[in-house]
Amino acid sequence: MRKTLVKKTLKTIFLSLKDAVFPLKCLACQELFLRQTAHCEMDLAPGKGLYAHHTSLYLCEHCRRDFQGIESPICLRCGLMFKERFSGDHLCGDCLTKPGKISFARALGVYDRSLKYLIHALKYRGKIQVSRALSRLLYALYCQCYTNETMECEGPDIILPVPLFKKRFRQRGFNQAWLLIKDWPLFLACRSGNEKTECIKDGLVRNRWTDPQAGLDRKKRQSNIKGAFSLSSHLDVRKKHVLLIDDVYTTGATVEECAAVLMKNGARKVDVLTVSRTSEKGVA
Amino acid sequence: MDIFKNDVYKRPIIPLLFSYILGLVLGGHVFIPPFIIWVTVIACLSFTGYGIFRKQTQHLVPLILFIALGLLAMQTALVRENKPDYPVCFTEKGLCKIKGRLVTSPGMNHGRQTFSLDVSTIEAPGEQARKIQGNLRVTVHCNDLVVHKGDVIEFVSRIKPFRNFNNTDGYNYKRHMAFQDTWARAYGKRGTVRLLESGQTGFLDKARTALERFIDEYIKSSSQASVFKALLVGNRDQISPDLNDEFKQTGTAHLLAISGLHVGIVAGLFFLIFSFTLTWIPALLWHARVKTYAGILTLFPVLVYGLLAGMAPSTQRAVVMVTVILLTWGLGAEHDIINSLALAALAILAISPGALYGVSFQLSFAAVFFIILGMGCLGNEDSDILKSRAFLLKKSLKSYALVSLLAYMGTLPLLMHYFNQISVVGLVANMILVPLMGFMVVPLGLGAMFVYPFCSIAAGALIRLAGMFLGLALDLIHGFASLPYASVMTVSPSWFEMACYYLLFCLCLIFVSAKKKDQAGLMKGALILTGILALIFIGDIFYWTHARFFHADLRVTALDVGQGTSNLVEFPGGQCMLIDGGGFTDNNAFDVGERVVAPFLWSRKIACIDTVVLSHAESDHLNGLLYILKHFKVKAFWFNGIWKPSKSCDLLKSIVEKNNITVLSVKDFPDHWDMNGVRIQVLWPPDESEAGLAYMKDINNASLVLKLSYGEDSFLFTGDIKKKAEKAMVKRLGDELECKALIVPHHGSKSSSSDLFIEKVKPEIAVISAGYKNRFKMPHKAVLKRLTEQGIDIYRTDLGGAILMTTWGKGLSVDTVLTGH
Repeated sequence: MRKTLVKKTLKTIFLSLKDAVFPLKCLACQELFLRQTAHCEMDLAPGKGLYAHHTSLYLCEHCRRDFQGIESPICLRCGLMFKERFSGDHLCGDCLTKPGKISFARALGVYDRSLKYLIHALKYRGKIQVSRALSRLLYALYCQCYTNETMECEGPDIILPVPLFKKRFRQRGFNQAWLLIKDWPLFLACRSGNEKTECIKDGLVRNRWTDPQAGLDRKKRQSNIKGAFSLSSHLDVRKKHVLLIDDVYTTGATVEECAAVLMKNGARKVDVLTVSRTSEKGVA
Repeated sequence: MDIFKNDVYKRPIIPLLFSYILGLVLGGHVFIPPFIIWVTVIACLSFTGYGIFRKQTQHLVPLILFIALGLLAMQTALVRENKPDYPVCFTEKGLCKIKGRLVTSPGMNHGRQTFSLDVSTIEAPGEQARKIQGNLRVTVHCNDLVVHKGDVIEFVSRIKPFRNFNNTDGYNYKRHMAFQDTWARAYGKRGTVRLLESGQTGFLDKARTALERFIDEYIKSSSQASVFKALLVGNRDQISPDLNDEFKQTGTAHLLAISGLHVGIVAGLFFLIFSFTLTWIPALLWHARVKTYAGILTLFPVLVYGLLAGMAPSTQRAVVMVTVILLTWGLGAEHDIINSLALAALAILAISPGALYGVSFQLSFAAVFFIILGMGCLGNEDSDILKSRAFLLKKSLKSYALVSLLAYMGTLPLLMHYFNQISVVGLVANMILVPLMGFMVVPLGLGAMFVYPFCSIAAGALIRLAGMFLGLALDLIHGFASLPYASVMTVSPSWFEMACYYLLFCLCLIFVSAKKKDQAGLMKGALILTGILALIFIGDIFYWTHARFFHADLRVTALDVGQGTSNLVEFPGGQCMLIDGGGFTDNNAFDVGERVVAPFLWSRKIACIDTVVLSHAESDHLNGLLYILKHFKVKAFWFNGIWKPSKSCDLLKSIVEKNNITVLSVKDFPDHWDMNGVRIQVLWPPDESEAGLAYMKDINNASLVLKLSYGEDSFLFTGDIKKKAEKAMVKRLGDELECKALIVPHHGSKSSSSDLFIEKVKPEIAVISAGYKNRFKMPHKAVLKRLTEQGIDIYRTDLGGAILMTTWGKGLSVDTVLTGH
């Protein structure tokens, strides 16, 4: 008891000193803000509240409330949010006419507002601390998606991050998709029904340099990414249920390409979870 | 309280820094027993500890804590004077045997070497050797002695305390030295200094010497080599005074300091190298630790470079700020640049509280603070993505010009205060020279420095290339400096005026920023405050204009110039007359004109002197005038018509000729004339031939004697006349000699101030200009006795500092700088 008290006091002292030298700064609006001891996001909807809770070290009070979650009605397959608010979930036009290899895609929030800034901070400014918050938020989404009607946990056999080409990996210094699930083995071990689920960092390999997808239209994205991926030799995906993880879902070209490789190698089913998706297909 | 918390502690270091500075300033002026401060510190600490335990946020207590810490730091730096084991305790004990280790490299100046000595023992005559703490400032008068930093030497000398020149401009030399833990000075005579053991030079000293040798080897031009030494290893000693002046005149002296640019280049280069190397380790990539470790590894070269460069305040600032930025990668945290700047200031002041009063500290922080603040307020905040190249170029050029402007505006009052010189061409010169030095010379030079240990040929090629650009830069600086009106001399602004200026500048920036962001409330507030401050500022200007040009009183100030004489007369209506300028025997050792008289004049807002009077051509009256004649606007020069064959005289003649100053000597003066109600008479010498012929034996007797009368009051300036001249004057002039205030002849020497003379003059007050405990033992006891017996009030510059005499023509009021005398 006394030990924890000393530890806690020391931690408070350390944190106040750290905050004095490295004040908390909002990654979205660049304003400085103060660490809060008690969180006051109780007034928010559950999804928003969780977001605000987890991002409280990276976003200011205002920005951490500035979040648009993915809400019904959505496309049952690709998770696209529909504009009309009062219908039920159904398939979107694209998924009806030419469904891809992916059986199910979901995202945490709309690629907009503070979430967009957080992803930018992570990807382009190397603020890897953000991945900790996003990782936990994405795990909450995972739990939500893989719980059936009888409240039983189920889940995929293998979780794979979308890989980076070697050169890009070294340029960036990290793979943001892998950072999102780096801590998951710990969580999954405690989740009944998921004990066998594996997170494999290099299951998929990107074979060649591809230009950034951002700024390209749908057609170009598809041709840009065509044949970029292959399966790692030591991984066997036959009859397996695979979950792909990425940071942004725009047209789905990248994850579709990954899914195609996986299906070709005999995967049973490929799902996708991303941190964010654009509110319309193909606009990033 | 919430507003207080949110706004004040957003950048937590800033309130703490200001509390600490407040403590430091207070500590320099009031004495609070250390016991009380310690109790406060402990109370604050326990209160904060309790607050953390109870999870309450602290607001006021940390501020009080830092004020107390500031007080403590300043007091411990300043009260060591009274401790018994300091060299200053030996000042009355005659010739002492002093042993100690050099803590600075000796600076050479015209056959003198000056260095700081960490004293280990002092042996006073008839006493045992005692262990001593603290430093001693030592000057050695010989060329052939070779000593280095770290050597242990022994010599015999008297120990003298430092003494300020107590004039109203307030420069505190004693305090300046006290911050270096130095309270006294000593002189080592030729042949008495013995080298006991050669010091061990550390790795850094060796590296520095090796680099300097490398620079000398490859750079043939001495001026370029000296600038490279300043730029790369922080050694500014070898830059010639003329070159230094050119840098100052063009406002580019900051380029010689090792600052953020240099440290930033070193950090950036090593960070790139480390992060590139570390990406070859896959484990680091998967754990995203590349930048973390690269950041931590980069700390080492940054620190080593900082130490190598001599850790001047600007270097320390840059090292602290770069460290904070590098650690953000390791801690996964953010940094705020103003907060980091404040942290750097706090760190520097914690280590050496005296830095607060240092010029380089103040300039460096003022420039960086205003660049950051200004760019935050005025800079364009639009994101750069999806803008055309032309737009980006225009934008970067604009922000580039803005940085120069902000640094210029931010340091302007400090430059006026310390150097009394502002560069007119500075803005333009900086815009050309900063990129030339910052993007070409410094990176190439640093590159050469880091390549040197591996390949001296490549390093030589790099530094030669850098030398080409540096040559161009120096030519440009020379060109800018030789433009007419490249720089102007200015009077000194007071601290109050500087504070007004800075507040006004900040408010203007805030106003512009608020206008841009459309914050009406802030805009209004800033506008009102700006208005009030502007009014105060204008009021201050009116006050000074009145005090300087529209006063109706006659003011005479006898300056404290050490051993020597200098008097300033301010006539009603603002005309000024400087009678003698003091001076020591060698201006190279200490220029009284530059260091004492000029700062005093500038602080009185005097940049133009109507008349400079030289009573006679001896060094203790003349040497101080050289700087004044050279740097001030002087209309007329009066003297007794006799040039002494000496270097100083020749120099003075050439300056007077060059600056087209009207020269008047004895034959040119009318019997008497009137200056705004003040009657001026030249009483002595009677004519040039008599002065020349009869008094050639003793130039003192040819001193120009001036009498100023204003209403009932009158002043007699006697120069160095002796008995013979006194007698002759009494015979010639009789009762005309009578006056209220007598500037006692020849610093109170016993060969002057004869009974006959004093009885005729019948002064009410006598002013004696002499050095504190001077070696001539002036003023002489007999003279003091004589004056006291006559019931005359005696004022002495050696005891009372500068003596200010004011009259409206109906009675004299006298004031001294040091009270109690």
